[in-house]
Amino acid sequence: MNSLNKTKLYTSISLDKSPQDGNLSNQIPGLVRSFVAGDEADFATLVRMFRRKVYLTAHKIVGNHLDADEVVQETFVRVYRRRNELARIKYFSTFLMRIATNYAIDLIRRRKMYRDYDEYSGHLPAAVQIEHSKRVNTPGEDYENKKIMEDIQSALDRLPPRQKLTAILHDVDGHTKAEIAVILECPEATVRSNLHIARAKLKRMLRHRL
Amino acid sequence: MTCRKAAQFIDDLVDGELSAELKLEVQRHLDLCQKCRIKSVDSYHLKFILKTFSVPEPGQDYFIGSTELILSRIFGRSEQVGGVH
Repeated sequence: MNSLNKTKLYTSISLDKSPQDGNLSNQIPGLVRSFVAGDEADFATLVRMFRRKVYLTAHKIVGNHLDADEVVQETFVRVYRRRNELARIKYFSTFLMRIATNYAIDLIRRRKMYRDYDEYSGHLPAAVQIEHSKRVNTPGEDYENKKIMEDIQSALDRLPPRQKLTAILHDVDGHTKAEIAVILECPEATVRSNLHIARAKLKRMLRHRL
Repeated sequence: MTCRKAAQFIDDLVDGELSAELKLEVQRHLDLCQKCRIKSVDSYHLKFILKTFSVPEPGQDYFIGSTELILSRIFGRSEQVGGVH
């Protein structure tokens, strides 16, 4: 891949698609440089630019608000602690999404271990979870739409972590296979294979929706 | 083209990643084979419904509070850093 294409590739995955943040995307390399040099305000700006993107991808992977929130918090704290690595890493968003997806997968595995050990029902009292969920907006109030979303989430949750992650990054979030290979640090052929298997499983699980 | 061969290309067809020549070849097979045609429609529809998949999005208050917590954990204080949110 030539350097121009590479630049285009990474520029496309570095953008937070929300309009208020998109116009800041050209500033990312400069913000990263000054953040690495110790500018706290520029780190705060990067958090604001990418927090929504990290949250939405994390929520699709972990399946609930509380865990997605944990992924967001830990991702940015880890990015800060590992800031010296950024001097050697050209593309901030790839570095960020790699940390976020790795943490989300670890979280799923830990939750599964906990659930296997002792029926996991959330780490907060039910009343707190219910009250908290009232503060989170649900875009689709339509019952059937909600059912479809639940079915998709349930089907995705039944995939092994790497297949789930590949399906979410490609088919839900719209990343290309080349971008996913960079984020997951694996060959593009592995991305293709995982995607193919994930889709075959999803087709079976969502048969009634097709 | 055989059904087995066509099945290998359905994902790429749905993703729009087939060369024009191969696309035409697969298309010819789908015109003749109902079973593969249904499979490709299923694949396309799966991609469509996954694209519509969304999760509940918290309001701006959540993101502001979350950012404050992150900055507080890192810098050990809770005041706003870097101006407006």
